[in-house]
Amino acid sequence: MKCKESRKVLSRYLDHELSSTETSSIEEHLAGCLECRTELETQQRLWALLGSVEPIRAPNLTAAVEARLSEPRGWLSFLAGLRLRSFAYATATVALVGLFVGTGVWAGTARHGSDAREHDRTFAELLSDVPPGMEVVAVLDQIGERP
Amino acid sequence: MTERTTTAEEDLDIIRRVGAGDHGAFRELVERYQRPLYTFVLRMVRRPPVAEELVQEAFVRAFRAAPRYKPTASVSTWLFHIAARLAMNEAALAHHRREVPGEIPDAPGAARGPLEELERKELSQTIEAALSQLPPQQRAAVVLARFEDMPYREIGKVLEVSEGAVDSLLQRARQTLARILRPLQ
Repeated sequence: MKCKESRKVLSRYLDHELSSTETSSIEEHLAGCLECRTELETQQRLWALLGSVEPIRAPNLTAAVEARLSEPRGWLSFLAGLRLRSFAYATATVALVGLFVGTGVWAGTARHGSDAREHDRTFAELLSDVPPGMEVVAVLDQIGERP
Repeated sequence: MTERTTTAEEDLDIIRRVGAGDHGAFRELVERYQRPLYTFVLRMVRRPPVAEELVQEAFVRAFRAAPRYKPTASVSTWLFHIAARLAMNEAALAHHRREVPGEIPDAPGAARGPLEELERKELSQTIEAALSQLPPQQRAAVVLARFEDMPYREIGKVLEVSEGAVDSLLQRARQTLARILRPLQ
């Protein structure tokens, strides 16, 4: 094993994640390589240092979990279970979606209305040049449906 | 039979009973795992009230999902997976909101002199602060590997990544921690 390979598997060696063959191979390399051995010792010190953190005081959550479990399910409990912050996010999202949808519907209606008015105007202009009694023929001509 | 195997078999029995709606078995599950889940989640979110709420939520989700539990992962890994998803989301949100990490209150240790107590406390807080500087996924990998002695395969299942990815997360985390904690080594 070369230094480059050794550095790649050093982390797994420290965490006992190598196979016995890989372990023998890296140990053989470490025995003859001061640089890799120094790196190994640095990492070992770091891991040992992490272990010197104070134990965490954990509260007993059994009663709180059981109480939460007996809460009714459904929309009311879903809303009640959400924290205020999450609820605020949800409300803001619904409001934004509503705003987008509302704006889209309004714009669509407005555009549809103006298109229809434009269409009526064009149609009236077209028919103004047609002699009385020939309107149906003119329209059929316009849409290419005259028999 | 090793201690780990016995625990795994007991867990399997408990989760089957929980799946059948046995509240006594559920209490046993909570008693068994609340401490490791809480310390893991607290190291991820660094706010005790948030950690408490997330752990409660993880257990409630576990209770509701228990009838569908499939033993493709150990019960312990499955619980950590549920808690990790909640904790990682919260950690990512906190990172996005640029929240300053809180301090983790430690348990009262063995009787020591005031100076020694202060030194230990400072050292502990420096290490916890260094851990909090890691991106959530790297932090989770370090906490599970270092404090829970979890093998890479299990860490991969908890974090939904491959074993190779766990290795890579841990290598990067070790480099960052070594740089931050160099003055203490």
